[in-house]
Amino acid sequence: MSPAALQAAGAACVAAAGAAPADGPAEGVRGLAILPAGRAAPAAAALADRWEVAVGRWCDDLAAHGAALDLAAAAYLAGDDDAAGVLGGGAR
Amino acid sequence: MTPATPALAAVRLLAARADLARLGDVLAGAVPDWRGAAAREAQEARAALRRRHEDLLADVDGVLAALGVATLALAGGTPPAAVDAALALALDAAGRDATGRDAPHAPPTTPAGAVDPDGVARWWAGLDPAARAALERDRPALVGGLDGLPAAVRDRANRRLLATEQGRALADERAARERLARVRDPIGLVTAAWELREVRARLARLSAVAAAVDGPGRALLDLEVDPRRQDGEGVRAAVAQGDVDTAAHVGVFTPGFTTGVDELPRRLEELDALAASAGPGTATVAWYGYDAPQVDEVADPDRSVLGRGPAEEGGRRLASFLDGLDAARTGPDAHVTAVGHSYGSVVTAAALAPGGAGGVDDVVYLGSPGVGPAPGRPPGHAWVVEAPGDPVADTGWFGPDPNRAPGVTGLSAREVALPDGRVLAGSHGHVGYLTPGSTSATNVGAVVGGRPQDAVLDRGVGAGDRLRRVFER
Repeated sequence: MSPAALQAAGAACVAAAGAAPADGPAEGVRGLAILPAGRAAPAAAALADRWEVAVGRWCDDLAAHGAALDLAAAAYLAGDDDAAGVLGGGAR
Repeated sequence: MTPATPALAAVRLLAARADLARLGDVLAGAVPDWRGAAAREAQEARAALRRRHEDLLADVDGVLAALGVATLALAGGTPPAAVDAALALALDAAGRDATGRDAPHAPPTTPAGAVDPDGVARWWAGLDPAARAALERDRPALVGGLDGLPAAVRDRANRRLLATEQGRALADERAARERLARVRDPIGLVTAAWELREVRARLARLSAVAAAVDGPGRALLDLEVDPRRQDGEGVRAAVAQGDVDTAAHVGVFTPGFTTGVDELPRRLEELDALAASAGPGTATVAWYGYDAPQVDEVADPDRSVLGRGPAEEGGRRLASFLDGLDAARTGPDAHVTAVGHSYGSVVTAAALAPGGAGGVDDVVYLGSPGVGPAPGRPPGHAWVVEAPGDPVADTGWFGPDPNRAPGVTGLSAREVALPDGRVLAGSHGHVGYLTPGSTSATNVGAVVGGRPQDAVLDRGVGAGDRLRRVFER
């Protein structure tokens, strides 16, 4: 096992999560309307809110997973295999 | 903002989907040549993230299809009202799991307790400043919740998160009001009124957190918001007065049954007085980082105040938080006192059980319904206060009454005249243990400040205890 590979995998996850616009899909549908007082507009706004939360949480968990991999790599480098053994998951 | 047509929304959503799809690339494959239990756990975590990513993409694809159909229908001359209704149905169904709840399927991100605080502190120290700044800016929910990070970092991240959550709650409140004004059918009215009540409860709790941290020396050490919990109960927070990373003495208060973050401003006033009474170099924390059991949960076996479920979950969170305080310090260790009131004493004892928090020096139980067979800290470092007329403290529901347990020292809650002429007020009942100027609060301050020799001792044995002894014979 290469701690460097582990560290790189962790850093990639943290970087990807950091680069992600959490509001991407949400902004795609926000402001959508067919009729001025229609039902699609509020449904789109509510979906945008749900997606913003869902994507934001997934990004947070991706970053947490990356941090956990980075931590495990640091523990292996320090020769602390026991510590590394409990740091694998990260995202709950 | 100009309303977007289905065609324009589809173009925007397609671009966003491509960005989202690319993010999943980092989860492709396993970490090379890594085997064993930790590797398996990491693989499971990656697989779960991949599944959620696929679910998100599938959800977006469904909406893209609905937008395409709507575009074609409008172009083909279908009445706009019919297209509007059909599209609304498709949008309502998206972003939810199979049971109709908001996606994602996984619980909300609650990093507290997810990883070892010492490891978190080492990891953070090893990051370059740009990476730290980027994480703090872009992932405030993650950074604010990681036990082991410096208090100032968590405070900045959590304040940013608080502003975001307040903005989201305000938008939700506005949308709920608009829905309520629009609906006409009785079921829709009830549903919309309920939604409005829920979002207003969440808004009120977030406002209470904002009020609690609005003052010099305050720090928001933790903030977690789960909008799906009822009555705004999904808002958890920890607020410090003073710098927990440099203070010589740190007192961490955990509340009990029926409590929530709405009482933080009042609790902080009590803890301010407690810190002043403890002496210079003292920081205090109001830790509302668990879902305290509520009245309407008494019959729920998993959430009842009569069971240990909430205490065990809260204890794990509190242990992680306490270990995080220790891990984040770069100077000498602080003298740390954990103070638990009522059911919060059960949570505190769970946090101090073997394998739990290691850096706590003293523990004080206030109005405790019992904490189990062991008081959590050795003789001379475990303290109890039982006020006269406190029925909860006489129940012994969770084990021996702490004021009769070996190794636990009783502190007085009665009126006391000091040699200098000052009179400390007595406390009565279950809720006045930290009232400024009371004997009880002064005693807790003495322990928190590392001056237990200044405390007034008392076993707190009253009529309730004597009655129980009679019935136990």
